Amino acid sequence: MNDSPHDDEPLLDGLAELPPGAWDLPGGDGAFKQRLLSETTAIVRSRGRRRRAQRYAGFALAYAAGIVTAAVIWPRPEALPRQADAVAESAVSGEAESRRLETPPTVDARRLETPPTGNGRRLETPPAVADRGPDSLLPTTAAASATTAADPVALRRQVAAAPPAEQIALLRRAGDLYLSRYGDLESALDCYRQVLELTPASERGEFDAGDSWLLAELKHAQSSPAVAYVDQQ
Amino acid sequence: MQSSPRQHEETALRQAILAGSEAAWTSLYERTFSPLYGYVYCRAGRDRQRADEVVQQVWLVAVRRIADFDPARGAFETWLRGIAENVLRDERRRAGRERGEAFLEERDGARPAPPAGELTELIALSYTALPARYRAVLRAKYEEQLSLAEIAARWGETHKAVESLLSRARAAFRRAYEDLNS
Repeated sequence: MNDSPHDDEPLLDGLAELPPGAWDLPGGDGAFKQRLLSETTAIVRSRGRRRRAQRYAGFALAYAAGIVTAAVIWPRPEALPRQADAVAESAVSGEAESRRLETPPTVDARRLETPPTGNGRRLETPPAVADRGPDSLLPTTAAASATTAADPVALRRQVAAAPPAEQIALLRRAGDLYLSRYGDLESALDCYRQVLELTPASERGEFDAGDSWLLAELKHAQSSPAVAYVDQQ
Repeated sequence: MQSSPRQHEETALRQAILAGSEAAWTSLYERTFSPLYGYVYCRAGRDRQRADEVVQQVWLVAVRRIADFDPARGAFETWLRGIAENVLRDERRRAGRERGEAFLEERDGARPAPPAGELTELIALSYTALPARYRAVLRAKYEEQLSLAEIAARWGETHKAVESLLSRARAAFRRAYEDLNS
């Protein structure tokens, strides 16, 4: 050793030499150390999994909350046709109801003893709607077309394929439905504008008694002061 | 207060462990297992079986309560030693109750250091209480009997740096020894 005297000073005053084995501390058995490491690492691992699961659950919750909020705040685009379908269905069922009302109550009539006719035969009555079973109330082709007729979106879809004269009628009907049934002024305006664009120049300015107030106003705004009223009724 | 590199490192490791990093835990475990074991071994009366039990409890408590470890308040090893002291105290209390020595734990709790006469025990405890770098330089100097130049050459450091480190290590060792002896 070539250190300075200061560097060679004893570790403790009066202790020239360390007692043997003073620093010989066991570091623990290797197997014991490994086993304990595995045990504690498993706890760290499970904690990590738990944390990740909590984080993912939080994300999922936030996502679901966003979806629900969006669904509550903004109306779905298909809500309008569905409403139209509902209206159409109610119209169809209304028709069925009215037909049922128009039809004599045959169920009861058949149950009742009808007075014998001259030849002793009982009166034959046609089966009523109520007797036809539930299938009779399912939408038929006519009902489906009624649904389409009450659906402004479906009507507008038909415009492209329809001949020019029918295009005007379809757009006008769609505009009327938007205005009267759904109160959708903007869509109604859009339809009516197209109606006016498609109307031949010679027929522009002609007022129809069936025009809605909005279409009449549009025509009025478009036409010259001298307008001709054509009462088709 | 400026934080030390040790504090920075242990803070990062703690965060990683809390996030579930097994590598971070293994790193802390590997660097502190042996010093802690030595400390517990001394404090447990050089009884290997007892030391194993205590060390196991210490690590299980540490891994479960790692969130409570604050690197700003002390090193991880110091925190582990605190846990070890609590475990040893509980163990003594239990043993005292079993033997019907009601006041044994109070006496032991008030004086955790071993009997002052046991010089070897005191030196070992003082040594295990030191940071790893201090222990290394003391071992090199007083056990391997290396000169400062040899230590500096081995560690790739300057003579001055090793001299300064040895001086600080010796002072820390003496303080620890005095604390235990008083």
